[in-house]
Amino acid sequence: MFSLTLKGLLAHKLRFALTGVAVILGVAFMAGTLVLTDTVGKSFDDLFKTNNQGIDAVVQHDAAFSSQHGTERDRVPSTVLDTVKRTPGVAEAEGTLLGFAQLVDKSGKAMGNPAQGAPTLGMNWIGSPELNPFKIAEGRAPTGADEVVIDKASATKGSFVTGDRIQIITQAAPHEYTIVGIATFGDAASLAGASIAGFETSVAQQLLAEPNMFDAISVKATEGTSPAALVKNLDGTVGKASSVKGIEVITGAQQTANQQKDVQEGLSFFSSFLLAFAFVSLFVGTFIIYNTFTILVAQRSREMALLRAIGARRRQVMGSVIVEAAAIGVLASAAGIAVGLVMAKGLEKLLSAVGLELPAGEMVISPRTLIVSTVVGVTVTLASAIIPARKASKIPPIAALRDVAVEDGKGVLRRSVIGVIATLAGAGLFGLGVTGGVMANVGLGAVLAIVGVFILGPVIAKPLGSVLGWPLAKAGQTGRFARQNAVRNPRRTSSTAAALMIGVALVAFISILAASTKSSTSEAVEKSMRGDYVVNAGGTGDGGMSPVVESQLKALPGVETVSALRMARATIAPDAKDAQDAKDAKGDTAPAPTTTNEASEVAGFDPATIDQVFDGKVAAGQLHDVGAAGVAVKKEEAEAKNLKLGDRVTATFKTGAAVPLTVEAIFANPLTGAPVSTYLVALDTFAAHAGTNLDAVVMVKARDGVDPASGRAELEQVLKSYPNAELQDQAQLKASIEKQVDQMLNLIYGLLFLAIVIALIGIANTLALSVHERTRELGLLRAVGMTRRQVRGAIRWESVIIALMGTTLGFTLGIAGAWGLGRALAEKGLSAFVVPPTTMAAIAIMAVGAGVVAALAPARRAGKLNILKAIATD
Amino acid sequence: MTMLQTNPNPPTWITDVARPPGAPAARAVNAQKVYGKGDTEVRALDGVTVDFATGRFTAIMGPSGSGKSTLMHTIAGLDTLSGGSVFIGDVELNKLSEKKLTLLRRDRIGFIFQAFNLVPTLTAIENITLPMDLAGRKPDAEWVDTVTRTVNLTNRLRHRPSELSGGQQQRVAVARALASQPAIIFADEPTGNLDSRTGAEILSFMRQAVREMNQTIVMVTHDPVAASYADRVVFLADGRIVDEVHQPTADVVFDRMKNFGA
Repeated sequence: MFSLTLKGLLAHKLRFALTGVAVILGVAFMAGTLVLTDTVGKSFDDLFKTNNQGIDAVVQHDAAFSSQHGTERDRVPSTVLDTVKRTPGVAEAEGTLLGFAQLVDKSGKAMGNPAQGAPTLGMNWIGSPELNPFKIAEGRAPTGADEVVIDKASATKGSFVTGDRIQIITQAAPHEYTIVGIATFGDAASLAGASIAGFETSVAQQLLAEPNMFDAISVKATEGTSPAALVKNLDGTVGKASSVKGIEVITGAQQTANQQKDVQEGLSFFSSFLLAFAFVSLFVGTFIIYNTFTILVAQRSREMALLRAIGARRRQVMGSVIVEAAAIGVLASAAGIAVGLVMAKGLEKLLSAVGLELPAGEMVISPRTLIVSTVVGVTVTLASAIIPARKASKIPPIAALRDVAVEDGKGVLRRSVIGVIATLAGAGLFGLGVTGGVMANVGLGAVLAIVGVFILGPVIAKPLGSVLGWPLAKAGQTGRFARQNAVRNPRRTSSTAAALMIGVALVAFISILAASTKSSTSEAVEKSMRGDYVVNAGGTGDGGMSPVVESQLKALPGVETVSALRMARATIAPDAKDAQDAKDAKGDTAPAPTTTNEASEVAGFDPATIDQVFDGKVAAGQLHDVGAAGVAVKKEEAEAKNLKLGDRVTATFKTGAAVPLTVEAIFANPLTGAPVSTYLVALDTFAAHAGTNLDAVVMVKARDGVDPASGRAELEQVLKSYPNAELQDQAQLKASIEKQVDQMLNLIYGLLFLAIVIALIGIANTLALSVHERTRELGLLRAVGMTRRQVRGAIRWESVIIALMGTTLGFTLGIAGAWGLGRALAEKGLSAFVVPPTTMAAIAIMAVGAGVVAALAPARRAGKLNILKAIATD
Repeated sequence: MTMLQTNPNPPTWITDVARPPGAPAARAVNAQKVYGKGDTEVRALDGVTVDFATGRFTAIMGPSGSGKSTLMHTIAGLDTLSGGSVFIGDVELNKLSEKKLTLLRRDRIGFIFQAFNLVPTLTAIENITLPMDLAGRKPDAEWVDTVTRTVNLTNRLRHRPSELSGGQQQRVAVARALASQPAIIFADEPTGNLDSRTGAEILSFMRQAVREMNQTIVMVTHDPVAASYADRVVFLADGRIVDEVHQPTADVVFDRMKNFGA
């Protein structure tokens, strides 16, 4: 039986190659994702290893909290450094500082974009070569207030040489520095693409942080002191065993491990995101495999019946199909992994095309990638082939003697009932998931609904195909053939269309969601923006601008009000109601720092000016009433956390201090320029705890009667010195939000592209098999006078009808899904439901085009058919 | 079955297609067809020259491998010659492009095959008018009606092939061949898959079409009884014409066949 299987495989190389392609692409996507994330992970691992090389111990503040964005902690005072230096076993110790500093190129443009790509970093230049991962490649270390060292990659990119002057954007006023040195990270030109500006330590403290403070202290042990012993000594002088509070001491290796872990966590989100699309591709692939095997079993039913007639047992027949599937699964998975290596590069390109630059070094192919990809590829193939295999085993021996007609119209009612139930259950689960915010239910519901429609497919295919093919049938005999052939085997047609349906449904869903988001946010901007301009300089942790900008803008004659926003993350914990009363009585405000993955976006704002530039659509309280110990909460967050006016919460910022706050306002509109912020606290309170001196956004209201053009010119004059700050009026702000949505949209389109390609391969595959099956019929048609052109046309239009069927079903699912999600999110700011007509039309047109392309090869083959062979009776 | 006689005015196509007596509807001149090369060379047609008279029913007979099917396929424009020439009317087929050949088959030739004559997705009437539909021509409704009555299919026209018996399917095939009023009909073992009674019925229809509609028919067969329905039988062996009988009977045909070992 096995050798028979093998011969079967070899005899139908082409068919199996086509089936294999569906598996190969899905597996390749998955393998590519795993390879890319491993590669990026390895690059980061190496990076931290290099960074911490030579460091035996790290002294730093206790962590305030960690989230998916990393661990945040307070700085340590330089007095700690003095104590560290006096600790036995310490050979060398240096304070380290890292902060925001963006280089400006010679044409006055800011270099890099920390909001999307690698960060733009400033640091203090560490004198000890043992403790500094950077090496001076050219020039010398900075010593004066005006001196800087930049990384080699930036120097090359900006054509800077030592001795050049360079403007650097920091929290201080705009200033030019002299490049005294050019540095490499280890031997690399840059730290994974990040730009570096290294200053003398006290200068760095001024420009990047605050005087007399360090982020951490790197320590080198004396000869003969182990890192563990060093940590123990340090614990005694500055750490847990000392009188100094809140300092932790860890080994350099631990530090590396922690940093690697933080990055890996961030990467795992990213990897899950990509893997979700890989699974979409595989899911689409299962339909193709299922379809191919079903058709092959149907075409070979005579052969299988013969096997049964001469004594093969059911299990053997089923086994032969299963073994075939397994063989394809193994071969295709292997090929898929190979293609996956190319795919990893492709994904990297795709991500960088939408602005997401990742450091990727030598490609990492881990055993896990090989095992997972193979297991998934083989499993998917086997699972898809099980139903056809069972069908094969049920072919009665007598079928060998009959001219078997495979089509059965039985079970329409049962099919309809099961299909409708599955679809409705899927829709219900999807709805539940959406309202409950459980992504697993959303995904499961979507899959169930798709399967439900798939089950219903054969019932819908005939009427739907007839309707869609109607204009073609009107056009002539070729069109009539196309329509008849499209509906002659509804099961086959519908499962072919189902594969495309999934892709189209997702594209439609995402397009509608994006259009609705754009419309909703634009509307929100219109409703909430009272000022005339926002000056935007990146979001949380991505950079910002010096507070000097605000005061300079404020001084302009054409400006009435400026209002700055700062952004940071913090954990916000509502106080238990009974605990609050107790606390009130005792006045105790020092709960333990929290460790949670749920950090909230908090903005610092100016209550005195906010109302002039922002309409918060307050539901309770007033934004201008928020005091030093107050907080304003976004309405949906307040509802989710059950916060009411007057409730107490504890905020933990980077500094680690637990800040008691009282809810003093609840607002509904997203904060202009910082829509992600769910909590707003007064700037003074914010500045005391959030550990950042950078403004993220400055909102500007012009004086009445100021000419917009000259008013704008005035602002731009000031902002020229801050090239990372973008001046946006309302239209530009909306456009920039839309651009962000579009970037995300393009990324998702790119990732869905593969699923659609697989679906098209499925159409081509089905058509090729159908053409093969209809050889005799096509021969007859050619004999009685159907021209090659007409034959090709009939196949082509059949393909178009199948494609349109998939598109119609996909639209239905996509629109329904987006509508459901939109309804659920209406309260959370997705107020608009927009079906973008041009996008939808484009999808439909592309589906028709895709149908034509998918039919190219099968149609050509049908056209070239040898008439004599086709009609030969024997 | 004799509906034609009730039609007082013969359709105009007869006068169009009817050629002067003696002018053949199709002919082959020194037709050669060679497969393979050298030792494996097979001469399926080895210089065949033959005329098929207009309004006549000609049978081509011969043992397996005699070249009878090849002869039919080449004259019908389904296959090409290695040498010599074939004509439908005055049109020399060798000179036609693949497309022109297809259009010639569609517009001027009718086909009846042994089996798989019909497109399974089309109803009987759709199958009958298929060549005209492919040409985008409107079928002559009156003529189609005449033809379907002749082959006794009037109440089966909306059925699909799978709902028809083998005999009925062959009658649909005959009707299709007749419906487009072709210059010539080629029939390849049209009764090969039928029992003798049903086969006789089909052959009667064909003879009737020749007699009453002045249709030209060329039929390949190995059955002497089938051949006896023809006006003339041409015998092929080893790619050559070896004998010819006019107004044959089954017995005469059977006797002649024995002469060249069929």
